[in-house]
Amino acid sequence: MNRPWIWLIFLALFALSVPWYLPKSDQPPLWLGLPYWVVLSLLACLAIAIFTAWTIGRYWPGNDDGLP
Amino acid sequence: MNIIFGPGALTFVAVYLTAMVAVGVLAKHLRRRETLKEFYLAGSGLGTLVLLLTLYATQYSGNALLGYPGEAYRLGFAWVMSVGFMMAVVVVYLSFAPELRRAALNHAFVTPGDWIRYRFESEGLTVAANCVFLVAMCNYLLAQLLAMGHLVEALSGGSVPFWAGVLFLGVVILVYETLGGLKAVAWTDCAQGLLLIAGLAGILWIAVPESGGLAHTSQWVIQNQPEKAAVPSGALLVTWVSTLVLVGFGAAMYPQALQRIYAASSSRTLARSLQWMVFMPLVTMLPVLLIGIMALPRISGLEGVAADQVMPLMLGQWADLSPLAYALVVLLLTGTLAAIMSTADSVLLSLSSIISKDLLGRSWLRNAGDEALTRAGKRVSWLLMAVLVLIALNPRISLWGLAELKLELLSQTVPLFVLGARWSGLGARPALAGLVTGVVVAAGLSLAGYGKVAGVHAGVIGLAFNLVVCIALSRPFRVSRALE
Repeated sequence: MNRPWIWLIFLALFALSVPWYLPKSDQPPLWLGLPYWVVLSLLACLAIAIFTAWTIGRYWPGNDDGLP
Repeated sequence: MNIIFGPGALTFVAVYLTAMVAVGVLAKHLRRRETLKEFYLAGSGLGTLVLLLTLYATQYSGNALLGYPGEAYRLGFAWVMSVGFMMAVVVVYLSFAPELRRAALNHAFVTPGDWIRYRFESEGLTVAANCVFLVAMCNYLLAQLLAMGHLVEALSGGSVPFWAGVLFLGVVILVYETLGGLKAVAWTDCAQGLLLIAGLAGILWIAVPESGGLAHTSQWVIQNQPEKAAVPSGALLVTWVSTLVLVGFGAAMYPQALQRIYAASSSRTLARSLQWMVFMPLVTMLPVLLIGIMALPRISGLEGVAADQVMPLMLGQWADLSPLAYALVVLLLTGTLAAIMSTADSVLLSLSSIISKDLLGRSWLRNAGDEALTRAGKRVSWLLMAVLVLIALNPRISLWGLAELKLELLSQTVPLFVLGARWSGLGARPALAGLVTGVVVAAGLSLAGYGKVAGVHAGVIGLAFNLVVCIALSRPFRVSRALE
């Protein structure tokens, strides 16, 4: 968990979960029955969940003083 | 609430409550020794599934089921932010949980204060952090008791008054908790978590087709309340990011959740539980968001606090559809009651451990053994519950405003765990100065009526000041005495 690139990816995924990068629209098209920006946000959240699970599986320290 | 439980539904609730007490008796029977670790951490023997469900049931309180649909109704689709902020809690755990668990295992930690005392070697900082935990969590427990009383009163159509609901369920929690400790709490959390998931899944299965499908509902919102479907911009985006930070960091500091990190049977068990836990917002917060959105075409004119009635009103409408729908509504409402109880029992157990081990064990009971401290902890549970029930029953005292301070206060302990686990340069004095600064800023702004400044939560502003003080007063390469 000490690898900076892991936290940069988390930061990028959380940034993508907030729709700051999309154009303003009062009439957003629907994807899967929801406004498209909601689906994009949920996809970013799904990516966060998958990346978290993968990171834990790959880099979680397995052995059991805990000081920095 | 316009749904009242009939005899069948009340029998279901009674069976559920009896089962909770039976679990407490069983957990007591299986307890090997009367030690603090055995009582408060289930002997650090929680397996993957039990740990996952107890973390889940503890993190998702009654507020998530009763308050969040109202937020979705008020804000519209932007409440999808709730999925992200509940995931952020698990991501924050990755930054310190492995180090915390290792230290806990090797130095027999029981309370969050044990880590602070070990890492910073400062009794003053430990006491200050424990004060923050106690104030925040007493308010949190009080909020659960109030929600419990109101829900029971509504479900019984007023035949069980508010005071009787608070008193009766409070005693049920106390009985299974003082009998079985964390083992009983974790096992009951499993039942409570499963009830919640089953209830939410069942309701969506009934409700989405009944409302004409998601596209139909979304189209209605775009036509009639376009601001609730529009791409968020400006202040709402700032609040979205601020909420991610506040909940992600603040909810990761719940003492009862930190103690579950200690209670895992192994490092791999904790890792596997968190791997599943990170997906839970998709199966919990997403259905809650959709319930709030589906209420928009059906219920009009709910403003401000009244929007918190969205979930009960919608369930009342769905319960009339068919006997199966009624059964699913009963399941979900029992699950909601269970969510409140599972949060209340965990918070009470955590408070009891902090008071008995960190406060009494360091003063009046300094020379007492584990058995005496565990006994004292059980008495503390009963006394604390009695005081909070009395406050909950007194209508002249309202602490709802203080309850909102919970996350604002808890987030000020973030540097002690996240920075403490990662950076040896953070010493006790800078950490204490940062904690005091953060608490003064966050509590001061909140109590002065500035819960948000330019869309940013008072707790996040407090945390920023806290971090600046911590870093400014630290020597970058200072090594703590424990390391030397």
